[in-house]
Amino acid sequence: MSLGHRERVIRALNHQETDRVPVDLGGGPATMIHPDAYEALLRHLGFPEEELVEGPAGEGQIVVPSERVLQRFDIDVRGFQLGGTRGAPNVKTGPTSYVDEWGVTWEKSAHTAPYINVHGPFQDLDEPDVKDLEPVRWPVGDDPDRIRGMREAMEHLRRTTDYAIVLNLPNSTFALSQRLRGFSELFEDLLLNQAFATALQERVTDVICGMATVALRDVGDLIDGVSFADDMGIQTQSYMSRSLYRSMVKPHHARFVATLRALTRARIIMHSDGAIHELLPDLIDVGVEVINPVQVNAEGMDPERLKREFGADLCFWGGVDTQKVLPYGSPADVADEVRRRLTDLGRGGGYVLASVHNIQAEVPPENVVAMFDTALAAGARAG
Amino acid sequence: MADLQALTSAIEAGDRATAARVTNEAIGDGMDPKAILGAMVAAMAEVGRRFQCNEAYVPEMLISARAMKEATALLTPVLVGAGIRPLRTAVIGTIRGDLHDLGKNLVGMMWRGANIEVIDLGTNVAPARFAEAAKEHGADLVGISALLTTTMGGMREAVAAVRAADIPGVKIIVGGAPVTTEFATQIGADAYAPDAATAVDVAKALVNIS
Repeated sequence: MSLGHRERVIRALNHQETDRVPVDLGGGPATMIHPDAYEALLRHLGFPEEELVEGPAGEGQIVVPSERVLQRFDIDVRGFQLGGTRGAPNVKTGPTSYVDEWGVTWEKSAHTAPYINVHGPFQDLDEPDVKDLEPVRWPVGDDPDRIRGMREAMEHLRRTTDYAIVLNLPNSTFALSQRLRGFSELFEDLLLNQAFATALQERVTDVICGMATVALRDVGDLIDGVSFADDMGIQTQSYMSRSLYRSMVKPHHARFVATLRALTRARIIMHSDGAIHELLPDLIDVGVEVINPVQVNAEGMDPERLKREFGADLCFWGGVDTQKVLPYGSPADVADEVRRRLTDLGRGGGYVLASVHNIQAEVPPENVVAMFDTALAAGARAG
Repeated sequence: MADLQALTSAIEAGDRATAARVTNEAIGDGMDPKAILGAMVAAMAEVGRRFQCNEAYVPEMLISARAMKEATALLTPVLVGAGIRPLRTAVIGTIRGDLHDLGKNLVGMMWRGANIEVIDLGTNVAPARFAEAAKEHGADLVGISALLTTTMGGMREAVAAVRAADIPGVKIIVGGAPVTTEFATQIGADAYAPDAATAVDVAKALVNIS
């Protein structure tokens, strides 16, 4: 039984085994590739040079792979992102800097380097107060300009192909609030300035709920997955204790996911780096159905354990180690890693295979090929 | 007499107001500045222990570090006046091409908490800059951090640059999610530390402080 691409993804996310595990490159969140690795891949595959398409801002240097490459690896998913709005365009403040609609300053250290957020409107406040949120011009969440052309493009894809479609919403409450307040500063506010931290996250959530609402009212019926990104872990532990998450961040995640849930039947995918094992029960509780990228070498993120403990409630999207195996292993090592994932995360469905986060510059093309070709050849599972 | 245990507890709890108050009291009472400093260092050692056991997380670490920083600022003039210097000097930074700084910042906080003077070069630091800064400050320790595998090559260059600068007795520690002991050895670093709390033990062992 050979399934169509979309059918395969839908069944897998429904916890059903499929003819082979679905594979992703460039469709779901954090599944793109560094331009250097991509160009090496093109050469390796004997494909002609391409004009590179930059991936979304804020993720470092990444490019969107072309249809030629995606079809070579029989990739099952195609992804969409929200655009900017012409109502509040980025304001250039220099040759290598701009301010975005949130009032966040972005800079790049060289012409070829990616833009990084360097300063936010609330970052310098010593004693932040809820009142400080008032005079700020907040983005208009439900501005439909962000999704112009999206329905037509998705309908075209539906009519002419059988790929699964994922709408990748941008960074969510905590990460966005960190951009506005400062990466470390917001962590401290969670304990020292709780009224401010709550009010800030509420305002941010208002905006992103507006964005999600206008997007999903438009395309919610066309998509198979909707993702949002909010890192909640470092290598060794979660960003915060379970109790602090529950009191200070979870309510905002809950409201946001409820907004998504009300407007689409697509699977709800959360992107979070790091060791988030401890928070998974709470993420399931707010309505997350799929986690990405599944950073398997972070503390407590052993894939067998994750599947055993959470496999009934969660699907997994990612899993192929990018810290050691993909960049430094041999193609045979990569093939072994893939086979392990097909077994530990793939049995009983519930798995879409991809790299753990974007493929970095030094990953040899042979390893990219080994990753996908092993998955394609393996069938429902490795053994 | 000021209660130094209250100072320790305040830093452990991230209570900067109490930490500052008790520090001022202790200074006003003419207490031995080394003892006051010792109470602060003990607090950060406990915070580091809690972080390692997942009893404390990043938010708790950061507010403790802030309380320590504010208390230290009050004590520094007294220490300087008494000719008491930090035990060692360290230069830290995130390697060229990499902008992640949480791990580096936590190491900096923990090393300051252990009474090591820390010069933080920030992120995206060129290999040569580590050597230059280490030489300029007479560093005993150089700490280099990376989160991206792509940037690890720069760590090799940074180690080579520091070695070439011939700084007597300098020790190099590397860390960051993709870094390993093997990699540290391969590139000629003196040690690898997997997290900020361990980085204190590793540093102390390398530069002979207890």
